[in-house]
Amino acid sequence: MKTRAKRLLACGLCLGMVAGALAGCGGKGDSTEGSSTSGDKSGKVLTVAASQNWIVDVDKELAKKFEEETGIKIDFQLSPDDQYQTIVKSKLNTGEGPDIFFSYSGTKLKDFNPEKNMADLSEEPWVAKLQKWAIDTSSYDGKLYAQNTAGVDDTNGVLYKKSVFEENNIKVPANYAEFKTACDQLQAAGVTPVYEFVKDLWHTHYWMEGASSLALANNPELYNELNTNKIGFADVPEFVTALEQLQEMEKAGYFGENHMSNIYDNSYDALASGKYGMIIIHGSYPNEMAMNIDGVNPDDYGMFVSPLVDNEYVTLTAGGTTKCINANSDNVDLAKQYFAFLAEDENLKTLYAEKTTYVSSSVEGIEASPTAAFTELMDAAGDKKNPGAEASVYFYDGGKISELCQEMFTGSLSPKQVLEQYDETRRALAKDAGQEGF
Amino acid sequence: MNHKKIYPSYFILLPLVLYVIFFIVPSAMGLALSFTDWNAMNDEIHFVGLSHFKEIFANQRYLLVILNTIIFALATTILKNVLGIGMALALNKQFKTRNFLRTLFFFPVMLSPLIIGLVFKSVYNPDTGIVNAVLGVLGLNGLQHDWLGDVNTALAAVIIVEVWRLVGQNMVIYIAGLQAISDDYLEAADIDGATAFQKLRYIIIPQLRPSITINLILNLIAGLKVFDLVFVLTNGGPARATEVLNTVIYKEYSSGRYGFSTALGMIMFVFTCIVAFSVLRAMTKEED
Repeated sequence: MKTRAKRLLACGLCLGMVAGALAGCGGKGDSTEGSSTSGDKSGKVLTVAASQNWIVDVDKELAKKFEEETGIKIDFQLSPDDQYQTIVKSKLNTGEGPDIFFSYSGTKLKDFNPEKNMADLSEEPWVAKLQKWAIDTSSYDGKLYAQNTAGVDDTNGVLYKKSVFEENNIKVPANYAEFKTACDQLQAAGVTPVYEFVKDLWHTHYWMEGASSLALANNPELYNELNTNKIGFADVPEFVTALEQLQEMEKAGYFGENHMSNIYDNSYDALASGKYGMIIIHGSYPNEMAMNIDGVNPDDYGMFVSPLVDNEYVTLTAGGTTKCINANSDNVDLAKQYFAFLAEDENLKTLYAEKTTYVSSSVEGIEASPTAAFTELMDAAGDKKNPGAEASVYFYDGGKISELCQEMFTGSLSPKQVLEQYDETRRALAKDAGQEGF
Repeated sequence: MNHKKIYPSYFILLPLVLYVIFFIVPSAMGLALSFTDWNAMNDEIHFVGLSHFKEIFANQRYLLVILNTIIFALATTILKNVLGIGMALALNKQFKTRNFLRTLFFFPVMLSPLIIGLVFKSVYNPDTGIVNAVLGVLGLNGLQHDWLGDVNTALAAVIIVEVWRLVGQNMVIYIAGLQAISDDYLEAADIDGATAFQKLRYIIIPQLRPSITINLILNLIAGLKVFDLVFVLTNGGPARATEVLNTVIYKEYSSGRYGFSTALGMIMFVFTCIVAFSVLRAMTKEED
């Protein structure tokens, strides 16, 4: 009997330990505990995932103010630029996603599977304040899935320092031949012509994407054909030519010696110091430089459209980055409260006043800080403006294209093979997703 | 029936339950899911047979990844063991700073691979890194290089960091093995006039065989499973020169292709088992 009692006790303890071990698999800790709609919210934490360069001091100041007002703490989880998308998608896919996460707008929202992972924000009160483009580019299938109260209706162009061009009698290039001449002149003057940071995968594809508005002008059905798998990227002559010219630039040494290791964070100094002559980048970049490097005057910089394939069109993005609420979070209501706080006029004014990287406002009555370079670029382009492929083509993955460009630079893939390989990856993803036509 | 056992058989129940729940069930589910098109964008799961495996083995790009993983595992295993034995022999002697040096060499083992990766990113930086700075001071400017940005040196650069990180662990295991060797053998060899090399070849190495076995297996498994260090240092680049199985699994998984990444995971699992069991069998056979 005594032995039997011991056995029962042992079995009980075993079961208790198993239950204890399994208990750790459930729940999500204090940050997501309990109902979020009522009661004491002090001690609650909202996790916000973003790429490291997207969150600056003013975002943290506003988060602190929100905590003071509500007791809800904002925990920013920042990832390196080239790894952000991968990390957040992995977290969402494993059910460990943050409460709030950033995404690029336009068709890029689809990358995060909006129907499954994003809370519907269509009925939120702040929606009425937004510009139409900010709503359209944060919507998917008629539902608003993201808040773009601080939008950047931005574009990419080639940035240059006006004084460097003047000192070396360099004409602002209007086509690829003139661009090469400018690069040669810069090289002769001891300036590395272009700062290209191949290691950060989000960037190199800009050179190809820069030709997408021209490609769209040449074929108005381009994006429809790509989205229905009638054609692939390798079938678009403008993209092939853009990559061929990109390869030619690399071979000519226009990117300098360390372009495979260069990173975005070092770009400000590279340009401001005059060590490098140009960079293909977003229009708000001069303001970003001024925020990071003392003594930089944003007005010293100019911009021209990406000259590859003799392009004359500005490629518009869908509206930069935008914020989404994880639909599977236990804190959806708290996150909505945070969004409402950020959309208050006083907070928006603070944000726009301090965050001068916003070149156009997404909110009625709020002024942004367009750079001289951005204005110059848009004025010069006139009517020649089209949405870019990144914002318009399903499953467009600039990181993947940039990664394949690395192989093009090392000679293991030709420009055409880069696009064929990319088409293969994109088609596999679209097929898995059940996208019609794939 | 053996009634002299110290513990009753049902004591095995708890570890068995935990093993089944946390290893057997997920592994079986993983195997099953690797034959499906399970993904993040579509709620329906379809059986696709061996198509993922066919895609992996028919695509040269994935074979290159497997090759990189093998190179990484073999190179790190050989270097860590050779250097580990050398350091253990050197630090098994009596001298003043012995314990300090043992601690110093073991120290990197205690650091997170992520921290080490971030530190070595700076160390290898072509413009501001200490490697190129030292080469410059020594007048070897011609050898200055973009170590992580060049496809010809990136994998070697990552291998060096991994060896630096874990050589101390190998050293400690070898020191333990060396201390288990009876002095009688070495004294007898001295009396017989054996040279240092002969003692190493005929006494120390054979006696160290259990330590060599465990180090080989641990290093091979760690090498085949490498992820964090590569992820931080190069993220598989440049131009996939350092892409290994785990970084591809991670990228495919995060792109939402769960079924495909699970198939890659299964390949890695089978591959690791084959290598580990083969080495174990070969080494224990020789010990017998």
